[in-house]
Amino acid sequence: MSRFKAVVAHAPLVCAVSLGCGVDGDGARGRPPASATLTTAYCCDSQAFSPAMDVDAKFLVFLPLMSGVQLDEQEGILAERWDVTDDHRTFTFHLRPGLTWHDGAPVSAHDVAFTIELLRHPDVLMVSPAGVLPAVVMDDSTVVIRHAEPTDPVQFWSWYVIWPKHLLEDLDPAALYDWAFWRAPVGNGPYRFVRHMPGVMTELQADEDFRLWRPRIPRVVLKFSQSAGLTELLAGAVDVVEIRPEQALRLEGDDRFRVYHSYHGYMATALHWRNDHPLFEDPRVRRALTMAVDRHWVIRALNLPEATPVFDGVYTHRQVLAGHLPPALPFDTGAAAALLEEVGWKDADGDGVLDRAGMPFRFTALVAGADLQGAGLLVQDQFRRVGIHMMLEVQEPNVTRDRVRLGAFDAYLGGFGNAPGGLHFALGDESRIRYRNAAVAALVREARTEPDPDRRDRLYGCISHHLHDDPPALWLFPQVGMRAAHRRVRGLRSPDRVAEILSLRHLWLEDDTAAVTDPEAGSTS
Amino acid sequence: MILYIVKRLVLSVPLLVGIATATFFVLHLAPGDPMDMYLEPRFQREMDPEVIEAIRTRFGLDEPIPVRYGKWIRNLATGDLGTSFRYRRPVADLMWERVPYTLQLTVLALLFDALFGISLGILAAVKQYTKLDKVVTLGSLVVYSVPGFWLALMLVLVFSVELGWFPTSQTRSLDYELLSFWGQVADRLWHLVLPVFVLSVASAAGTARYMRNKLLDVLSEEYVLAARARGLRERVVILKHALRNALIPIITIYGMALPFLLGGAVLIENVFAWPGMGTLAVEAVRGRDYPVILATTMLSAVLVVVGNLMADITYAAVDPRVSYEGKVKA
Repeated sequence: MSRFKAVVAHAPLVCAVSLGCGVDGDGARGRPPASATLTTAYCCDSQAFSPAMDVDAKFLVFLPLMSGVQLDEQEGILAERWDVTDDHRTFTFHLRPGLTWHDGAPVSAHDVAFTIELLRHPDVLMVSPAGVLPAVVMDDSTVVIRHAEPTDPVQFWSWYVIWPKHLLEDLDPAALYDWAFWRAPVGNGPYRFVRHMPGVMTELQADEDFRLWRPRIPRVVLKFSQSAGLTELLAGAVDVVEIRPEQALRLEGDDRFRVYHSYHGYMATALHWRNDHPLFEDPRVRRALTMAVDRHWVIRALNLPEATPVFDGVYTHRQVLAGHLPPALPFDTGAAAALLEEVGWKDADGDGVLDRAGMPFRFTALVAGADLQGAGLLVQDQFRRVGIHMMLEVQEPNVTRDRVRLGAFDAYLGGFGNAPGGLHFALGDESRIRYRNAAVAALVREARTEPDPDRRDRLYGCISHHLHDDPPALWLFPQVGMRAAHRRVRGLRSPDRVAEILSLRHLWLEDDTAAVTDPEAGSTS
Repeated sequence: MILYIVKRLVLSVPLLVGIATATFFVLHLAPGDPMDMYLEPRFQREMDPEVIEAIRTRFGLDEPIPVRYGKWIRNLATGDLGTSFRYRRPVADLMWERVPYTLQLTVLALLFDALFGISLGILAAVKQYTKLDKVVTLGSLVVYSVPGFWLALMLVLVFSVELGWFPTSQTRSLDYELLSFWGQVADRLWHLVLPVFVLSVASAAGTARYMRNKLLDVLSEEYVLAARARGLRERVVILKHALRNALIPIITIYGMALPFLLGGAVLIENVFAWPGMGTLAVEAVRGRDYPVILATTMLSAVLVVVGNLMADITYAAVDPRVSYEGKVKA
């Protein structure tokens, strides 16, 4: 009410019409909302739980068969255990007994089979009907799921949540994305749906009957104010927001907030070479280009977290979380210059740009979006120091993608996808950057269908070993995600517990006046 | 008058079809594929290529562009705006949810613009070369020069973050549903103050300058001198004789203001997390959500047509020389 009084006192326009308005909890400076509530700046409005948006809010209300989205740990959630056939195509899931939907109906194998059928439905197509075959219910707590190809169940079944058959079976799958159910979902997860205010928020409450773990935060509010996230945090209207690296500067020295960072499991930022381009076809040139750039300096200049690793090669989600990234070529301009000279590149005419047979070392790099322009300028500056003239052409990501697809580029700065399913676009038989390395292509094919995570990690290690001598790109840094949280939000940790929704079972709230002693706390730098 | 309106509306149909056609082809010939978003590793998974192909087929993206155009224009004629690629929901439903929020902003911004812009312009003209005139002239020039998004951020930082007088974003408070009726009204207005101010202040400044200059021109006309010579009170001379004539160019400006404000709302809605058309349009452009982009573009086109028509109708109300009854008054 005090906030409202302040408005009345200072704003005559509001004063004229404000009788009876209570506005607590929506704007006090530095004061978080109600103490038992975690308020997060979120996206998606009425579709936060809809499969159309398919965002992590669904895990608050619905459960998957197993976890692994965040940590790649094979832990059963709805499934107590599972059996895998030798060919990694058939999985028999044994569900935990006694689990119920929030309306009291029991969770059964029929729900799992129904969900899979819905995912495969021709009007839904969230999974490939040819890739995932119809599930077979053995009994109320046992279901068999079959895949056409060898599959890592964690990669697959940790992302899809199970929906209640008894509430949805009579609805038209063709209208699935428009079902009113998603605006007021009945789930089986740690939080129950309470209410939804279109365009404003969705409120969830911890389910007292939830048996798998005890949610320590009683109430969660998804506030649909993501685009205004930082000001919302500063004003105390939300507890956690996603921020950009430069926004972290605004929070520096403000002890009310902590900044956390994570690395995208499968996406790095890299300067990709068109590997059949006359300038880049020699692997020694590509190695020299990597060695010419001080990537630690680039990371600092972009205000990315100091701990951001420098690497050369590809990595799995598990490897980046564990910090097991492939080693980087050293920053060594002398060695880079020597390598370039070995190939015939030297500054014969003294104009500051290397040349060979009268041709200067000059090329244009497409930059996929203005967000990467800063990184492009920094790399451009580093290249200039060794006599390489890189021009930048900033394009919208969609335009860049089209140009790359058509081969109309010398080099491009953009995302390097490490996921097993996408690696072949960079390094495999369908390489869009014209990378040709038979040994790497064979390993990429193998990694794509390798269901065992340990063996997949080893395959990625082998690929990186080859890439060390024959780099297809200059890797700059793993894509970084950053969150800022009020200090009363405890349990967040860089780099593995940063997404507040996925980490919610590990979080708790403390009185914001208490001293921060959490050793897992992030930093404001 | 009714005949004139009907005639104008009929004539606007080919214009709208032309805009629709140009927008459709420019959009579809631009680089980028809406299905690309499915190829990006979202979180830890990717869509299977055959699923992407099936989705492409369902949305008609595998058909030649002229065929897609034919279907789209036919559906548009029946009011079917298609299904959003991103939200997988009918575009009409999405628009129906978003348009009221944007209308709140733009209509109030227009009212604010008219109220303050015209009033200040009249004051500045009547008090020409006084301190008030100089303050209004200089102030409107400064305000007109300030970028809207910068002003929005500064106002949020000062009045929301530092002073806490206004909310940082959104349309309502979290406890809105617990408020009394008048409390809810006040809460909505409270949330509108900053976005409406930012959206309208620059155009109000422009209106003030137009109004001042036009009124000064009119005040030097002979018929105004004649009115004064007849001994009419200055208030009557200005409001009854001069103002009506000075308003004619202002009406033209307002005829174009609605789509202009819609464009401005794109930025303002983003800064204030306002769930309107602007946010929807930005998300659609980023995701190559063709049906949504086309629908929002068509809405803008319709607003241009309607705005111009309303301006023409208003001319008749303001200027007695203008008639749409087929007669020209002397």
